[in-house]
Amino acid sequence: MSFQRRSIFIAFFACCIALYEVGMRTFFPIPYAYFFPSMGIICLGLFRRWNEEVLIFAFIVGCLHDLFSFHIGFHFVGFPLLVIFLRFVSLNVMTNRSLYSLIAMVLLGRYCFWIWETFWIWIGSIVMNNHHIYISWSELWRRSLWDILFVSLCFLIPLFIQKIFRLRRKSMDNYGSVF
Amino acid sequence: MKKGETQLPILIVGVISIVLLLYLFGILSPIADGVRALFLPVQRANAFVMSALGFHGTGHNVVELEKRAKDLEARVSTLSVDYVKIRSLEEENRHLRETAKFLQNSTYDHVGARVISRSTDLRDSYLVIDRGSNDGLEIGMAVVVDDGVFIGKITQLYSRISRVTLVSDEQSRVAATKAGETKLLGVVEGRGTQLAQMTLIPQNEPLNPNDLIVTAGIEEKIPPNLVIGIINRVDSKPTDPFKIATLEPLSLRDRIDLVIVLRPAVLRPEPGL
Repeated sequence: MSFQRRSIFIAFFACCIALYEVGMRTFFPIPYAYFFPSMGIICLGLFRRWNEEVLIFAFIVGCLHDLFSFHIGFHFVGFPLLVIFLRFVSLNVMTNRSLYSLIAMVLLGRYCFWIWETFWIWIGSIVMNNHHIYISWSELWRRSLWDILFVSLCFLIPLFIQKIFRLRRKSMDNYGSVF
Repeated sequence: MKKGETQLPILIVGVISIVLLLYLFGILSPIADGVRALFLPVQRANAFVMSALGFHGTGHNVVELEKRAKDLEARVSTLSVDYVKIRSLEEENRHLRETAKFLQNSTYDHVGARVISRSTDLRDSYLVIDRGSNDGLEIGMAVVVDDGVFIGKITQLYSRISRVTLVSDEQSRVAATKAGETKLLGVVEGRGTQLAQMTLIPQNEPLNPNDLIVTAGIEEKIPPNLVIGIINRVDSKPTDPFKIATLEPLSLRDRIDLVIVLRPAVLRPEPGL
């Protein structure tokens, strides 16, 4: 598939995910309402080294988050910056491509983004006198648990499928390395 | 790194810088409105589907909600009996007629709206509705559910969507009084839970559990006599100048899918315009 076609597909996918997060998600009862798939998708994309696609995805998701929220968040800047930061981390800090490093990455992303959101809510309350509630610790760790569950399933299910249907060479380990 | 890989981050940073500049100079608003208008039907459809599937939001499970609804129904029945005892039948009938027909009798026009998003945090109780300044809405307008129960007021709006801050929100403040009275009795403040608190009630004002609280109507865009909730408990110390009462809003925020925004008739668009 050409990059242009892929980009259109990613843009559509990003719109679906963003609309779910800003609308449909809020209709689910707690704790299901704390499931934000975008962070997991970003980390999985970076893990698979789909860097360009992830950047486009992050930008579109960020734009839609901004359009449907009532506080300053600059998500359209925050999400791509997060992608760049996570990519830097994955290239320079992560030593392997295991499930554990993926979980570490998604947690890092979730907490960094929480700092970004909290900072802008704080700025909004000072500059524009908007009184928006900060994201609480309880909500943050619940979001994190969903992230861990989501990336773990997305990591393990393809591995199991490959194992069951014998799509993987016997000389490959669980992480795709040939030995 | 491949050539394409180095170009894309630069491109994205460039796009972000341009968007930021446009945003700061306010040029982006019409584009943002256009994109919002594009996605609004999808949001409406999503909200409709979720409501049809029985998903109404956060906070409570269905069993708890049903229990609470039954409890409220029982309390409303008790309240009605009390009213019969206290007031004459004629006065009660008049009051009920007024409550039922408040839209026709008031000088307020109304706009129906669908809830497209809602808060997941009880401290920050709000709804996002699919109507905005294009539909004649303004900040401060009262929002009621279909049976005339006041649920909150509009606190922020774009051209096509608005944010309704609910009575139970920590930032919410509404001037209120007892049903059947016209003078201001106190201020209903949200507590960030499902409950609200009525403060600044003078000590000499009689107020009891199960009293019905309505809007006082001293706010410009909020009509009087919209039911807010029932008094749960009254805390009063003889040494304090004011009493505090805990108030249970009559509307369950988890069950709100459609709302009505009341707007003064003077703001109604002229036919043909």
